[in-house]
Amino acid sequence: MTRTTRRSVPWRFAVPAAIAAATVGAVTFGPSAFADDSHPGLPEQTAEQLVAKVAAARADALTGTVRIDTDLGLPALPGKAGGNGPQALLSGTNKLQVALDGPDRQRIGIMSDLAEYNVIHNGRDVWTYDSRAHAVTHGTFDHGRSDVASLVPTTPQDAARQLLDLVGPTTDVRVDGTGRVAGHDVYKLRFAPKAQGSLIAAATVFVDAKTGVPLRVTVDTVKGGKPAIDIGFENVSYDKPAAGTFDFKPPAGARVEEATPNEARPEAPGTPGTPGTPAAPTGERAEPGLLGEGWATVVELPAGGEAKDATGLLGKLGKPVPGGTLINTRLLNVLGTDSGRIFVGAVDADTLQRIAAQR
Amino acid sequence: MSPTDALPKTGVLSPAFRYSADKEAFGSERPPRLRGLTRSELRLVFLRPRTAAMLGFLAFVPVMLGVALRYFHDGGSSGGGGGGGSMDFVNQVTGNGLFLVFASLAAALPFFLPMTVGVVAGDSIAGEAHAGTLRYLLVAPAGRTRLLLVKFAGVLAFCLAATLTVAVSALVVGAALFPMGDVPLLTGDTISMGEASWRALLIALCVAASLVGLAAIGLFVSTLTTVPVAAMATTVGVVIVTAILTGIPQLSAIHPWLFTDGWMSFGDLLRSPIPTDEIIRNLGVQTAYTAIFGAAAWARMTERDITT
Repeated sequence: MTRTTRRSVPWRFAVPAAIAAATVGAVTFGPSAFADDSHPGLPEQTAEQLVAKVAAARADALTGTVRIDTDLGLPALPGKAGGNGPQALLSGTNKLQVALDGPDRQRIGIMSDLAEYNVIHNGRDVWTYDSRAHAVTHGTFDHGRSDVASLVPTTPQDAARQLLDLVGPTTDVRVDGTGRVAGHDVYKLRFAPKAQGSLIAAATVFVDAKTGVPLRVTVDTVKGGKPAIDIGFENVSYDKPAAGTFDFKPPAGARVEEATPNEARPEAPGTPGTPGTPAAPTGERAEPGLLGEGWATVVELPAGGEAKDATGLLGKLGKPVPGGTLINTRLLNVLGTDSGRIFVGAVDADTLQRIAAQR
Repeated sequence: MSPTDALPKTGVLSPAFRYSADKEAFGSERPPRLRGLTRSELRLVFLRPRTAAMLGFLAFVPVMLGVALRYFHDGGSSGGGGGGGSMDFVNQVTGNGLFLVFASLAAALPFFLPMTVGVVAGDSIAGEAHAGTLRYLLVAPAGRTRLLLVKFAGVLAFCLAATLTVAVSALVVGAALFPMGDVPLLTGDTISMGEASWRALLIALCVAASLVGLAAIGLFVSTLTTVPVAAMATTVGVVIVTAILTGIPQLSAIHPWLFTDGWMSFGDLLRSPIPTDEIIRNLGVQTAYTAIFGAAAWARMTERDITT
């Protein structure tokens, strides 16, 4: 029935090929809001001036979308697909909707496919809403410890704030050229540890040249490759968030749990949003011990419930070393000693073991 | 170019040809109008028993979901954050029937909808070739490019019809089995029923648009063969292969390039404020796939010897 004549590929097929090539080229080499390679000319600034500018920056009101790329080199954990909420930030790419209005009102929504996890802080109230479970938690903060933003380092500002604490004799700070983030011209401010032993090669803060607001932070590891953490705005506006953004009412039919003030804190990701506070948030309930200082800070997780779970996990994922079990990732080392204690730090294995042995 | 002497007598013509033969092509040098051709192509697509069967099957998806959730769902069991593989929106559907629309579209989009689109798209050109009607279609001075456009329009119409079938069926089932009322968004805010209906319509359009890239792939595959079943199987195969690729985390570098990557972006319409980036990106991906495979189909169609 069919008679086909063989001949060379006709010129017309050049059309789809050209369209494909043009598309791939445009996407690969075209401008991207997140990783813009242009270098706008900006007036010279010293590192000190920039640090002062960041410290003085006041982003009272802000809305935008934050993208977080985390690549800790962890093995893919089973059940991650169902992950919702802050734990999801531990790996892969996540997007967040962020709205800030002064120190008392923040809202962060961690977006995933067909689901979202919201944390809303409004005055004394803290709400979380998990759309997948259709569940709400509500708590109130005691005064004096109401700064929820510092507990959830999910915005570049939080990350940068913690970096600024590191400025001192242990840190080498310098200006590393200019760039663009989310359509804003930025200075790159590079923080690097002077001492050996840290797994962090450098952290770079992209500072908005106009406002001094940090728009992106990347953390590079000594092992090279892509940043272990890359957190930045995809788009940002300094306009006041729409009225009502922070007025949360539990939706109809949702399960509402009242939490005691301590538990009301959104379970912060175990990610160190920044160097200097490695893995701090998870264990904060029982005040983890901080050892060492600066970039070589090591956290000792308190013994008890969580640590016990972690010991089991260590056994599965870690490799045995003298005196305990070690999990090695690009950014963090976790050491579980035979005596059941757990040490976490963004330092190399030798340093971690040395510090642990001193205890 | 137009061997009008080769016109057949009667009987073997597809409706598209019959229309153009009756109304316009004879006794006139003017090519048949695109609108008339399209109308008869739509008739060809939608009057098929096969199409009715597929739409009926799609309409049944929300019924299954609705009944399962209404009578066999013990509330709270999946409240713990949802394990992998569990259905989306489970906890919302029981409280608000409109969520069955979103749940059904989310359930039908990964496989059921692409499967039916693959069948229609794969059949579009190859079916005519197989039935021996393709050359008669081209005998009428309609032109090959024009014929391709009309066929693609038919497939697009089916994409829209299939999506709306799922949505409307879900709306009816949802209203029958569950309470209706104000709709909670993914962000925890609540919107009125009226606004939610608008968003549901936008979501249906978004889902239909997500299928356009696949429709273009199917159209191209369909120009390669005269065996319609092969074209359908290949197109559905493309969907399956893509789903497998998506499931391999080590291949995450190529995921943004797959036409299925942005399919779930319709969920962004249920947030407040609505983030448009992913939706626009998905539409861009679909446009790119349509341009590439549409051009490939055109190149193949205008080049090939059509003997059947």
